[in-house]
Amino acid sequence: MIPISQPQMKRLTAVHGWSGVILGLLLFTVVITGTVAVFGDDIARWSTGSSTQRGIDKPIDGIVRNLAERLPLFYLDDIAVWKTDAGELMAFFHSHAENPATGRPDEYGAMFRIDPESGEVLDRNEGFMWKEPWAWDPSALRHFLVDLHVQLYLPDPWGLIVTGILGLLMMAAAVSGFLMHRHMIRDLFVAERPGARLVSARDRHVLASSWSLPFAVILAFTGSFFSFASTVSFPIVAQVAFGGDNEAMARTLFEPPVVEDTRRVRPADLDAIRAKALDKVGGPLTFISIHHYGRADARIHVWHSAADGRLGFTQTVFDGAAGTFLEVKPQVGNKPSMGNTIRTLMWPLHVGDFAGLVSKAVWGALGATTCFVILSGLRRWVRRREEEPLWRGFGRALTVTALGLPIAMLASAWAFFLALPAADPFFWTPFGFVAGALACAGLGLAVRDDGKLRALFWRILAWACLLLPLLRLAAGGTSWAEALARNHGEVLSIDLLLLAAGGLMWWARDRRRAPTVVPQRPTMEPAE
Amino acid sequence: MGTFAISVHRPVVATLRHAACAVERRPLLARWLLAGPGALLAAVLVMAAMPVWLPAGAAGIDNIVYPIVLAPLIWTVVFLYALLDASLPRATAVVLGLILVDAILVAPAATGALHVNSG
Amino acid sequence: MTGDAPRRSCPSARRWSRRSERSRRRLHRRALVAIAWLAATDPKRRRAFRLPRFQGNRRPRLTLLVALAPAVSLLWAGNGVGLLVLLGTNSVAGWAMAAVSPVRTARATEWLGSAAARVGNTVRTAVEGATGAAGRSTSRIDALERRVAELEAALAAASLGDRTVARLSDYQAAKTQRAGEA
Repeated sequence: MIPISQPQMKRLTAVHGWSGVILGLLLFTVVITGTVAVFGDDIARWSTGSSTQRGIDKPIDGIVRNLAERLPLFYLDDIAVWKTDAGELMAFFHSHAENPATGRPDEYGAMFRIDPESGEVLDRNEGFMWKEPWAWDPSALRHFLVDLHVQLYLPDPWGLIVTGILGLLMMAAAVSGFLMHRHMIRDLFVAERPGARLVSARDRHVLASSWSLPFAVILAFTGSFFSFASTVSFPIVAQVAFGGDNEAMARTLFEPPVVEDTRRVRPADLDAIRAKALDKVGGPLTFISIHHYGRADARIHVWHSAADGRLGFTQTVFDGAAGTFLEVKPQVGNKPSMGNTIRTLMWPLHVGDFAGLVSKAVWGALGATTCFVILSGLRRWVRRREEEPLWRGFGRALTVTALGLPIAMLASAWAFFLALPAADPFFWTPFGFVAGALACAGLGLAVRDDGKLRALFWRILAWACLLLPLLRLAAGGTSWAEALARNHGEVLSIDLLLLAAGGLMWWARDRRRAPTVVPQRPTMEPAE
Repeated sequence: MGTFAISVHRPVVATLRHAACAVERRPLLARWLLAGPGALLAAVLVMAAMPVWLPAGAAGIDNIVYPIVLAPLIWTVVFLYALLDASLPRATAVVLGLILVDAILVAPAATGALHVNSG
Repeated sequence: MTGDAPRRSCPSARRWSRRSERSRRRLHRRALVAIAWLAATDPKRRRAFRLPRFQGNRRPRLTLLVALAPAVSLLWAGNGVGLLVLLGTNSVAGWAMAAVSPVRTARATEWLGSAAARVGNTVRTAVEGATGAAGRSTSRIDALERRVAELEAALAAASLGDRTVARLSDYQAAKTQRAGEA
């Protein structure tokens, strides 16, 4: 491998080890929530009891036209149309205004929730609606879990900066680990040696990290990009390239040049445009954005999600007055470029949703592998220092985090279903997570014996999984019979997965019982 | 002219030698500063300066997209370099050089004196 | 890779696509088998678990080529989706294969082998019972046993230099007789 001198190896080891110890538990939080967030859409469909795909496949022209006729022209500056995971059509008629809460420009307008079959308006809300997720996200559970991953549920922009730093840490750890490991290829098939020795802990960590190294780097790199892009990189580059004019930079990157023409004309038929877009690129169409609806210079952007071999989103642009196809627009810029290609790859590489359940399953497995890498590395650190009370305490914190986080996420699901019938799930879901996390921390302090603590956590996990489908049904969720009849696959599959996981954990709890603790030298079993 | 060059050259070399010795006398502190705030500042400035010198490409946007996309990689490279270079004075010179050169490139554009891309 | 232009589908293109998909799956299975082979014969892995060194020819370079072939083929075809899924699957599968110790692998293989043999016997018995082949099977076994006895006798006779012995029992009797004479 790459020759590294002894002082360099010492520095790499220090950086790899200490960065992992200081921020590893937080990184584990981001990675495990990310693993769950890969299945965010499926969780949303399971929690709402519906398996509707998000492609806009029903007529929308009449609906948009009727609503637009009743709204002031200010609201027709921009229109966004999409379908939720619950199968409802959303239409947001808006323009830009300064948000008094933030002091920054924001999108203000009227948001409608519509029955796509009948066109009936089910709900209408006005304001800076992107700041009100209860109005447009049918699943508070998915919203919370994704937000927890993206910004650790911290306020904007600090949460993104923290997750960005954790992404950089993961990159540094991955690359330093690669450089430290002199015999990576030779050790690629060395399984954990028996005897539960220190070298066994090393084998466990090294094997998992070697096999998942390329993806760890990709996930860390793309994750940091997403976290820093809007908070740090974009403003800095805008300052240099556009004298600080963020709007001008956004227009250069994302909007095609249009000659202004404010004459009022009859808008083009949105359903005809949908058909043309499908013919040009293929489905599914998941988002339609209309600029200057009803004007001669109107533009309609149709977003096609990844499918049929397409890795990322594709955007087709139509004339909003004549309805003619104009171009397949790159995500950034107005012509194909290498910069656009790289930018387009970032989303599918991070999220793994480009080939449906197959790619999500692979990305979920890679996320789980990365969790294993983090835990096994921290466990190895603790094993080397288990004579010291401080590190034994850290080992306990590791056990509480590794098992407590999944319990807390399940607690948030429990809180979601309990709140669904009569309370605000957007408030109670995060509350459930915090309550679950605090309860696990409390158990970690109260139960002195490590073996008993782990067994207790496994039991709680098992019961939380086994009973969750029952709670969902009791809260008025879709029954299995209805799910089968209406082809709501996610409802059935996630229920079965929870039952299987609960059963497996119940069966495994006895097998993972720790050995008898010797008072002078307590040993800790791996939580991973 | 030659005498003038020598009269400028000698103090400059002496100053650099003095600086190198100062760095080598406190290796741990120097390494921490280089790999920590030094690498961060250098990475931010490299990213900020890229729109100035990078070609805009076919679509006219490569010089603003590349720095945004590559920002994490830039930091990782600078950080690992600052961590691994066996010669501390050389690492210090490189990182400080990066900071200085990019700051010079960025200053006119950041203050609005130079418009890199038209809005 | 970003798929800006749509690809119109015609019947022959779809057939080609299905054939390509099948051949890609075959290549992928071979790649996984190649990784499993590399794991099973890896010298350091065997040494770590005190197993004897693999005696045959590992052919590591060829095996590595087989393992990488699907990735190269997908890259050549410009199939970014397939490539990413393949690399991800192989990473996880490779780790899983390497993480299971040789002892557990051997136990699992033995269990699978005996389970397969039991299933095979059960199926054969059921099939023979259903088709009335049991009697034919027994007479065939008798014929095979007789042939084996004849071959043993011939081998023994050849070692004694006597080609007149037809059965092993005759050979044994002849041997006893010769021993008595001696």
